[in-house]
Amino acid sequence: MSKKILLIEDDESIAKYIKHRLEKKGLMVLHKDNGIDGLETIKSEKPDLVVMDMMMPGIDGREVVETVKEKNIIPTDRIIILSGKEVTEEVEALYKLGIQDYLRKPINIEHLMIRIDRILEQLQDKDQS
Amino acid sequence: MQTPLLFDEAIIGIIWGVIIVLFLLFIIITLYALIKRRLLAYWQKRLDIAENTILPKIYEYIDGEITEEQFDRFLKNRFDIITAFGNINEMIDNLKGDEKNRLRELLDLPRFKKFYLKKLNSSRTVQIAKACMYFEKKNITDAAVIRKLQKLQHHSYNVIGYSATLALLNTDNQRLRENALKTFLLRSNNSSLTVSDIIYKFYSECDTKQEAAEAIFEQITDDQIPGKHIAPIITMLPELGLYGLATPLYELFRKPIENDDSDLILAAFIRGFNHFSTIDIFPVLKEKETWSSPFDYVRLETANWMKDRYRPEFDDILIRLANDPDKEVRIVSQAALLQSDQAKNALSFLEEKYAEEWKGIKESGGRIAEYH
Repeated sequence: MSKKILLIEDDESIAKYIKHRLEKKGLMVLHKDNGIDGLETIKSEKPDLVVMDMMMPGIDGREVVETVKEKNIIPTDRIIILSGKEVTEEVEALYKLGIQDYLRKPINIEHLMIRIDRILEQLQDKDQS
Repeated sequence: MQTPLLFDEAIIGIIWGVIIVLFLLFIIITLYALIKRRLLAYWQKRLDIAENTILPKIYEYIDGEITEEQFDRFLKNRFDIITAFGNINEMIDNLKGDEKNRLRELLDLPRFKKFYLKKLNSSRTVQIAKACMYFEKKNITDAAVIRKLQKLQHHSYNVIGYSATLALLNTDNQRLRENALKTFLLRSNNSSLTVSDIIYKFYSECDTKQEAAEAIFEQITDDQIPGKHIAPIITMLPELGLYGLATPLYELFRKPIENDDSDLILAAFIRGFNHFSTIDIFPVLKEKETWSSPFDYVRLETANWMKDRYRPEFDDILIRLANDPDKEVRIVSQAALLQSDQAKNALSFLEEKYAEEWKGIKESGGRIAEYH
C-alpha cells in the first residue's frame, strides 16, 4: 500500500509542485492550505508523514505540532517543518517537541525528496520488524 | 392666473427631468456593474484555464521533460503569460538549486520579455509593479530597461519606487546597485519595512560581506538620508551578521547625532548594540543620559539593553525607569531589576505600586531571574 503524506502549505504553487513530485514517486498526497484543516486531517487520516509550512493562516506550524504531541495523534518524528524564517528558539522548541526535520525556505526540492525517502524507508523497516 | 400654471408645469418638467436622469444613471451603473462582473468572471475563467494548462507544463519543464522552446509554444495569450509568471515568480522565491536556476532561465523567453517591457511603460500602477517584479527575477543587462527603472525609482507611488529598486538591485554592476540603494534611501516616505527589505536584497546581491558592509556603512554616515531610514538599517546590521561594523558604528554612536530624527537613530543604535554583544555602550548611554530622553522608545531601548546586560551599577537608573510614565518601559525595567540583589526594597515597593503589571512581570521576569 502506498504511503500517505499530508502536505500543509498555504503557498499554492510550491504546494502543487511538491505534491506533483511526491505523486511521481507513487505516494498518496493530501494537501491542506491552513493549520486548522491540516490538524483535522492529521486526526482523521493519520498520515505516515506530514510536511508542513511554519507560517500559516489560522494556527501556525508550532501550534499544530504542540497539539499533535499533546494529544498523541501521531508521533511527532513524522513531521517535517518548512519555514521562511529561522528563529533559533523556535527551531529548538520544535526539535524538543520531537519533529523529524526543519528546512528553511527557499528549499532545495531534491534535498526534501531525499529526506522524505529516508523517513519512509525507516517507517517501512519499522513496519516490517 | 397664467403664471402659477406655468410655474407648476415647470416644476413638473424639472421633476420629470430629474427622474429621467436618475433612471438613466441607474441603467448605466447597472449595465456597468453587470459588464464588469461578467468581464471579471470571464477573466477569472481564462486564468483558471491557463492555470490548468500552464502549471503542469512548468513542472514538466523543471523536471526536464520539455525544453524552453516547447514551453514557449504553450504561452498562447496574455492569460497564459500572467499565470505562468505568477507561478514562476512564487516558485523562484520558494525554491533553490537547479529548479530555481531553470525557472529563472525560463523568464528569458521573448514572450515574457516583450509582455513585461510593454507593462513597464503602462500608466497603471499595478501593471508597472508587476513588470518590476518580472525584472526583479531576471539579471537585467538591457540599458533601456535600467534607465526606465531608474526613472521609476522616483515615481510618486511608494510601491513603484520600491519595486523598481528591487529590480535594479538585481543587476551585476555593484556601482549601479549602490546608486539604486542611495536613490531609494533618499526618497522621504519609504516605510521602515521596505527599507529593511531593500537592505537585505542589496546585501544578498553583493559578492562579499566586506563589499556590502562598506556600501551600507556609507549610507549610515550620509547626512542627506532621512534618519527614519538610517534607523532600520542600523537595526538590521546584526541580523545580516555584519559584526565587522561594530567598532566603526560605536565610534559613530559616541559622536553627537546631527539629524532631524536623531532620537530614532539613537534608539536604533542601542537596539543594534544589544546584538553586537561584546561592546559595552554604557559609557555612551551615561554621557547621553538616554534614560532621560523625552522619547519613550529611546528609554525603552535603554531599559532593554540594561535588562539584557544587567550590572548592579544600573540599579539606580533602572529604579528610575521602573517608575517611567510609559508602561512598556516600566515593565522592562522592573523585570530587569529582578536580577538585582540590592534592589529588593525598591522591588517590593514597585510590586505594590504597579500590582497589575506585576502579574505579567512575574511570569516573564521570573524566567529572567531564574536564568541569571
